[in-house]
Amino acid sequence: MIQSVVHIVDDASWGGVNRLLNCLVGDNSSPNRDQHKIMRINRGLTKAPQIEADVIVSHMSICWKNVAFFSSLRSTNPETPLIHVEHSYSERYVALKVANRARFEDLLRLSYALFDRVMAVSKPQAAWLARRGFVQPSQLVTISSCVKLGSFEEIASKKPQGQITIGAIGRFHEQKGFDILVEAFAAAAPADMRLLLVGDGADQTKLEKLAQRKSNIVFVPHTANPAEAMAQCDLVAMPSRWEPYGLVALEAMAAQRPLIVSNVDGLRQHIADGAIAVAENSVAGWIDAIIRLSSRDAVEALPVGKGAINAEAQFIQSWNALIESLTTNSGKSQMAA
Amino acid sequence: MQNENPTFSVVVPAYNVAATIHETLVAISNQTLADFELIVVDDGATDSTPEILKNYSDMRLRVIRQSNRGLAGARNTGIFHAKGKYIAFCDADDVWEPEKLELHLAHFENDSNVGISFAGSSMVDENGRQLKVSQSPKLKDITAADVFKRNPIGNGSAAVIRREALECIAFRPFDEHERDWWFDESMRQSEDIDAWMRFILASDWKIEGVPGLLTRYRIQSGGLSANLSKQFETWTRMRDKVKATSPELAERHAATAESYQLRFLARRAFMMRDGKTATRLAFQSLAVSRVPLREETAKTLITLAAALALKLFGSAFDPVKNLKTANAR
Repeated sequence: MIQSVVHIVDDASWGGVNRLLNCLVGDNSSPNRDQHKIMRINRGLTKAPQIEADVIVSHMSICWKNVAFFSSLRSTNPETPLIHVEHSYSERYVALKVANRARFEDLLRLSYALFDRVMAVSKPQAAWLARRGFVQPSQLVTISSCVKLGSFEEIASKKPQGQITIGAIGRFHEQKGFDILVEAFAAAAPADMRLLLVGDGADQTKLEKLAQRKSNIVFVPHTANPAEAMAQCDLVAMPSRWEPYGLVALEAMAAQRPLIVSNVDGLRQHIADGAIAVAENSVAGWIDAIIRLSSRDAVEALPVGKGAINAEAQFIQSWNALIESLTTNSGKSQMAA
Repeated sequence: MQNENPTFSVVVPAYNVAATIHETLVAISNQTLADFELIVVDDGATDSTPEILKNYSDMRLRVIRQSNRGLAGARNTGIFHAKGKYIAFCDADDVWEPEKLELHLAHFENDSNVGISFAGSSMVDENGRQLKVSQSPKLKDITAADVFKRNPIGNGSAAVIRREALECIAFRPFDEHERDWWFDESMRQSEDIDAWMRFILASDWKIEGVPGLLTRYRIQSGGLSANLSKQFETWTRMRDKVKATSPELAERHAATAESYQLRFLARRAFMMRDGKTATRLAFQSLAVSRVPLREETAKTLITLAAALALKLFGSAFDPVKNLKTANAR
């Protein structure tokens, strides 16, 4: 049976979720049988609308401001299975950013309890949610995030020539740790090596300052086709301070680019899939990595991760199976019990 | 017969500790909780440590010998071979109280979110004589700022770690092909505080203490005060790692933490009876931040006064007597 699935997002999560859904919908050659639609919710809304759907999926962030909205969503749609996808939080996030742990943990438990399923976007995130008991085992599902990878696979054989380019792709925000990488690169990289920072965000000025006007540190904004930037890179660096999943890692693997990452949260899953862990996510640690990678021979000897193989098909299959389990009669009666 | 599933693995790094290790081992053997394996890592000792280990009789003892890798490297090898659900560290010159493991086990079992359990320590001198000072740190609600500023875990024989939790600080340097590192082997001091800071900034496992002074921690008054500046240098490496991981924490607490560290080194210089260095470090500590003066007024002033007195009156002045009103760290 065709099910209609409505994904609710707020403004902050719209861009990323949109890419996720594009992947979920499938394509002309293999369309997803379920109907997935996006519904944008204005921030600060406390009353949820009644939603015509077989399953409702929340991609909104869990915060005290949204608790009223979530409980209204539950009570206004009492019979509809609700899924929450946890895009925001991870163990490192809590360790670094949450001052009042008890209050934060109450928030998570309270909010998650309103949903039939809570989806972790990576295995390490799932392990954390389960270990801390924020999500009951029967309630927890894990589906690694995915986007359409075709444009990345297309550039897999197109490697740049000449100077070595390290790419850092993503929001210019404390989370991504690009400041660590830029400082290390400015201090230690040979002149014929290039750092390409692709993105934008609040920390741009700070990063430019750390770059000390070095001509081999280049900033470019996000473009409509993210594979374009990737095509210019020999390898991709992710010095993230926390990372529930880390989509860029998947894209880099699809593009057959070696990937160097910090050993945190969801990035541990990519390490298991073949990404290389930087020993120490500090300026000294990245200087060590950069010096080791300054020759083309060294870069070409790096392994390429296998995480992107079959990732799209698996993503769609897992979602289909989840929707099916929630909409068959046995699923519903289980929930009622 | 080896115990394949011990509750505890006790890891004792041993490098040239012939004078003290026997007492350390006896205290471990005499623990009221018996379900542990005892792993002594002979870190390339050149004294009679290997003979002492050979003659020591406890079925639970395993000796692993390696060429010298330093304290962190010896502990890491111990962790690598450990089979226990919890890993406890004891330096080969310290002595545990008999109930130590039993009390930590109760603590872990009582709260499944505790990742590191520790306790305070009493202090003894080189001859094992009890000093009147103790390490009685904060035990509950320990934050990253607490660890950064005051390291409540205190010394290398206080912490017991849940194995599962320890994995959050495992890493592998590019040139290391044998096993992971948990403690940073490139640091010859501050490896403890470095590991605890990485732990608390990497996970939401709790670091929590149990009441009591469960380790007799041996204060070595020997040593060269020249090494103190090297020790400070290593500490700043730890601080820089913290800065990379949490700019916010460093912004708020790095100066205070530095001030506390300088005060700690001033007290070490004092124990070495180097009044000049102690005074310099104590003033440096004050110059970096006034927060210790506000948070721990008495101890900060006593450190300064004692350092000055030692500088002015020399060895006629008994250091230990003048430290007894305050904690040693």
